[in-house]
Amino acid sequence: MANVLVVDDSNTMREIVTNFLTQNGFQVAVATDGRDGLERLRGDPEIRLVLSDVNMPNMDGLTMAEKIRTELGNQEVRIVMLTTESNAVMRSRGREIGVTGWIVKPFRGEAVLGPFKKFCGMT
Amino acid sequence: MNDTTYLKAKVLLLDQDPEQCRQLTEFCDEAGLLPLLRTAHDALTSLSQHKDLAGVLLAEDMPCESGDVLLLAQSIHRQRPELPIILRRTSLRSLSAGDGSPIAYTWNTGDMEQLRVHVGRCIFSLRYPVALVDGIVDLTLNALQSMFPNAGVINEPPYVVHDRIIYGEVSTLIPIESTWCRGYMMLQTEESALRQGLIQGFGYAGVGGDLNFRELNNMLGETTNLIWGAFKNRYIPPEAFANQQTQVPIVINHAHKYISFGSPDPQLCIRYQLTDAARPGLSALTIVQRFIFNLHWSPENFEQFSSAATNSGSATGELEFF
Repeated sequence: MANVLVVDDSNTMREIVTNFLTQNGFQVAVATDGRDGLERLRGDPEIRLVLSDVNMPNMDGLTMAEKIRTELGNQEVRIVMLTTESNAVMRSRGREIGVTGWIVKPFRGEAVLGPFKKFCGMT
Repeated sequence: MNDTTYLKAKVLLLDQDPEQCRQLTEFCDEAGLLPLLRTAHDALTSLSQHKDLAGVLLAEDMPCESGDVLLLAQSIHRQRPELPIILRRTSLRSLSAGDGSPIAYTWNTGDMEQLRVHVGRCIFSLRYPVALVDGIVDLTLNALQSMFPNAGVINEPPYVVHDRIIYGEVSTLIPIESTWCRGYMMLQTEESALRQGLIQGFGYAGVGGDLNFRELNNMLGETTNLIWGAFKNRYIPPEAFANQQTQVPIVINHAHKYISFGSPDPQLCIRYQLTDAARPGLSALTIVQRFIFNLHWSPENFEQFSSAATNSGSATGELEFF
């Protein structure tokens, strides 16, 4: 069972984020795109935080977030987008579909450790 | 904003006249050209050593083995047709330049203004604003530093190239679109050098597995993604966002004949054989076609569309009157 799901099509990015989170006590599951992320989340009710890229093949991160809220009906899990995108249109769409937060890459783990622990009930 | 004067370009300088060499070196310095002075004997070797050239300055009286500099020009043109050859005329013999000839332009000895016009036309034909080039360097340095946090990262002065030879074995490609441009960004590097850098500890500890070629491809792919994102955030105005589509880097590794579009899904592959009916014993020419629908794929929507698609449109090759 994991408490964080990292969704990114980049193996390198998944490793960077997963290594950091694991070293800080998180239990991490990974998925390679939005479609995969949806399946992982469906199969693991313990996940409290989804940390997802936006631009991915097969299903992008915002579509996945929307499906988490609508198709899965999961309103509890926190969804944070970790992406190179910073434009207002995408952020606005994210807000509308129930995304919790937005991080523009590159990933600086120390800057987000506090909120992530809080989301996962680790404080 | 539109100051574009500082970009350089590397050219092969094939001229043995000492006075002309002196004048041309001065000219190159003023025009932003970095001349590589070579003899006819080592000109072709230099082409193999330098894959980032922008052109060739050739003298008609350049001593060469064949005795005719046009034969040398043809050899250069055969190897690298993308490099414009600008010939300094020293005789009055008839010579055509442009289409069909290895010579792009000719200029008369001493007429530096004529040379300047040719260089502007064929070497610096596209101008890059300094503010853009500086911005690209800045955001790329940031991205490289974040992907390789333990490496010192600097850039060499930016320059323009006409060569189409790929540097190294690993390269990535991603579309760049804005209201003011449409094109691609490419990153290229040597597989062994990238591996060595990561062994030395340039990257994050524990990232990159056993550093096999796929891991290295991924590393360059993610670096591409970071630069692309930063470029978009800085240079794509809000009005262009409506037309923006999701993009992922295409990663190519020439040494392993490998290309990835980022999706694990199967690609549609069709092989075509071209044969010569008159020579049935000869092997066929095989052309392989692949379709990669990695960014969007909805067969349900296709079914709605397909019946209309097959019945619409003009028959090919026929004249349709309106």
